[in-house]
Amino acid sequence: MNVNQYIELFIEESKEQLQRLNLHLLEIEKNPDSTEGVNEIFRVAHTLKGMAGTMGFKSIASLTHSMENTLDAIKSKKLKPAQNVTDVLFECLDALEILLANIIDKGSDTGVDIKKLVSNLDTLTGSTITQQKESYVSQEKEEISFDPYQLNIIEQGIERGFIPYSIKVRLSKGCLLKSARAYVVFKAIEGFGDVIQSNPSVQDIEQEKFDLSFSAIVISRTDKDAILIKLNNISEVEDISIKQITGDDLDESKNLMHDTKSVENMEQSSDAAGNRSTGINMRLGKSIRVDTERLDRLMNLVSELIIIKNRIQGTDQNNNIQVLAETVEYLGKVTTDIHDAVMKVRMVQVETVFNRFPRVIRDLAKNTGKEVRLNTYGAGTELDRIIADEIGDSLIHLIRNAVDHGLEFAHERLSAGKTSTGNVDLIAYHDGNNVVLVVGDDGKGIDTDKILKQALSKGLVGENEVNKLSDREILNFLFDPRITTAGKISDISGRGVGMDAVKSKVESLGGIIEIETSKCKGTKFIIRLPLTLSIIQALVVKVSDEYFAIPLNSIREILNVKTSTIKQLRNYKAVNYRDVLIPLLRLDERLGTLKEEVNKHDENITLVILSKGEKLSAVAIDDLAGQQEIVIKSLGKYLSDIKVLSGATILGDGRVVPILDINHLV
Amino acid sequence: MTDKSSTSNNLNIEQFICFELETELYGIGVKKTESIERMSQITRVPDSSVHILGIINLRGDILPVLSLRQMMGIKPKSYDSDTRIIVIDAGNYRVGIVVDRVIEILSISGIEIQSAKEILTDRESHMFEGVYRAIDNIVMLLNMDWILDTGDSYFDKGKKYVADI
Repeated sequence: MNVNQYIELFIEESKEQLQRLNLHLLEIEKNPDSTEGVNEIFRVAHTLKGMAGTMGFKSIASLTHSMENTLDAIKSKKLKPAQNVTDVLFECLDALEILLANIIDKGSDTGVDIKKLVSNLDTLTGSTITQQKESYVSQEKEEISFDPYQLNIIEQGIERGFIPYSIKVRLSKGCLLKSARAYVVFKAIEGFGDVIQSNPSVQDIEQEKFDLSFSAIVISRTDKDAILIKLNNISEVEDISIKQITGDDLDESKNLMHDTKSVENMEQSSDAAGNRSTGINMRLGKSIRVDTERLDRLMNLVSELIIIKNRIQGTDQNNNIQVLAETVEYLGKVTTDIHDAVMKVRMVQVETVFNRFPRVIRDLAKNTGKEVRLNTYGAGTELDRIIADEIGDSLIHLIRNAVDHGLEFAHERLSAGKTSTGNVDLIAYHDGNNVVLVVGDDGKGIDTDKILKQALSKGLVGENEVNKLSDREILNFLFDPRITTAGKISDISGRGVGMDAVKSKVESLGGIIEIETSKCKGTKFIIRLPLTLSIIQALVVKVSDEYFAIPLNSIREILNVKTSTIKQLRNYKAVNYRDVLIPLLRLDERLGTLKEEVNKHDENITLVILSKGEKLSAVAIDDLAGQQEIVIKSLGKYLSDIKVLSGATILGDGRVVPILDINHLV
Repeated sequence: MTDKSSTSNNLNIEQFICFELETELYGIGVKKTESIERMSQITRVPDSSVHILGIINLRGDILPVLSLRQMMGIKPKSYDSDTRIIVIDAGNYRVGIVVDRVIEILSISGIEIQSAKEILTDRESHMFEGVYRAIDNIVMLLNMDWILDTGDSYFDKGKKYVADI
């Protein structure tokens, strides 16, 4: 079966299932008696197993199979979902996520050693369930079992007069160099015949990854007793048992092989799938799940469009201007609606991003030993799918920072008069054409003096400038890769690379990030992102004889002021705006539109007040050409280093107008 | 660049768009080109290198347009009815180059192409895949890959380069 065409579906579906697994695991951890949660996880594991099996992803299939066993034990109350159980299940979840990521990257579910997890799961299950069902991995059967290759050797050996033995060796408790001792034993065994299998594996034995006993399957022509005597002579060996392997054992192994034959088949198809699906990551992320209601709405709008088309065709013959004008107006409304509807199709709820965080918080709380509660607000807020996909890692980074640097330990909190549990707030809401995401904590706040000291020592700011810096400017040093607030570098954060990356990610998405902090009360990181990436409201302005578009969401106000109000501060110009001096930028100079120095003696000058976050600045323009909805078109790869433009748009008359990137301009 | 001239040293016939720039003839492989367009209004791009003229609207897409004259160190010339934009397909992006006049499509076999290294200085030779000697003229075959990939930093010092000539 060619499963390749389903791989995208599989990945999408698996992601959803893993997210569900994550949520319900957290629920079980909090509330171990929740049968609902256990049932849900069981279902997820089962679904995953089925899907992975069909797709030929063997590792996922066998891991979920073992998880299923464990969960079954929990379900039937044979196993209590204690902390150690959920820990293992979380580890499994991590492994599954890595496996899935590897499928996306490389097309095969390799790269994670699931054997250990499987055996961990089986120990959990095994300790309560005596009757173990058939399993995918032969290792967990303490009894003798062989893979087809070994079986073949044994059978051939028997034909040629060899006898297969199973030798179990237990070393004495005081044995010091276990691996060396085991080596001596193996050396002795090899004197009699060939070692076909050892349990644990030779590598594990070499690395002393075994308790006191190990076993080996050997084929030899020597008599059982002779081997026993020889091995008994080795010191520090407490007990040796040698058993001849009978035909029954072999048959059992064969039966087991039949059971696992389907798995073997899977293995082959998984290899094939691996080959076929290399490079699937190129196409990934292109499929999207859409609520059918939204599609229906789009469909309705398109049929309205057809009606309008017919109407225009009809009016054309009668030359009825009145009807035509009405129709065009109607057309305008329908196009706006279609745009809305298409945008909605691209939107996802921010919940899909937030769902990852309870787990992050749980792990952070465990690692740091702090008490943390995560509060999310506005999880239903919608934002563009691309943005949702891209912003997740940045938010995780901020959350880590909040827990690691922001929140205090329980005793510190209590002595500061706070509740022992720290709060991390995750807030999402719409603000005009923006989506605002806030990561806040009620911890100790950021120590601006500390940052300033670092900035000074790293030479980011001169001694004489220190007094002029506002708190905001000092906080902005946090985004410099050379600054870190962590007293010491920890596993979680503090290498100082992160904030810098967060900032550039936010900016690459057309957004801005701000910090608000107050001592002892906490810190807030505020990320403002555009609602959509492709169509915006913009003001088209004329500078000298060229036109530029300025996104409306960064415009605060348009003013007409007298030229005399412009102040000269050394090399800079500034204007008084609502009793605050803000810098004035000459767009014609900045954009190089000025062909020759013209002495303008106009009394009035038109200023556009731009806001980049809270920071205001004014730009002087020559004329306003009007506000309109523009479609952002990329400048393409060749011009990707032009930072001052975020793209270009094509006006109704076919003219190309560059769109200014305010974040880079001011 | 060297392997390019050696691979073209065979009997495969390739087509080149032959065009005029001032008095010289140049060629671009047809495989690399997408279309030939009439001149349209160019919007300047702030902060761009000297050889980038700006962007145009190519059937609803934004297309950066480069000045080959600037790149070759030839004085600019005002556009006329013969001016054309040759749209180059560079794989993951497109650019247009402005030329004075498109002459014809040439079919040239590999053995007719002489390596540029034998004729031009090192500095100039990597701009060209080779030189084709027609009966009464010489056509310089542009190495668009180099011009678009590595040439960018080279032309950024464009002003100096123009002054040299």
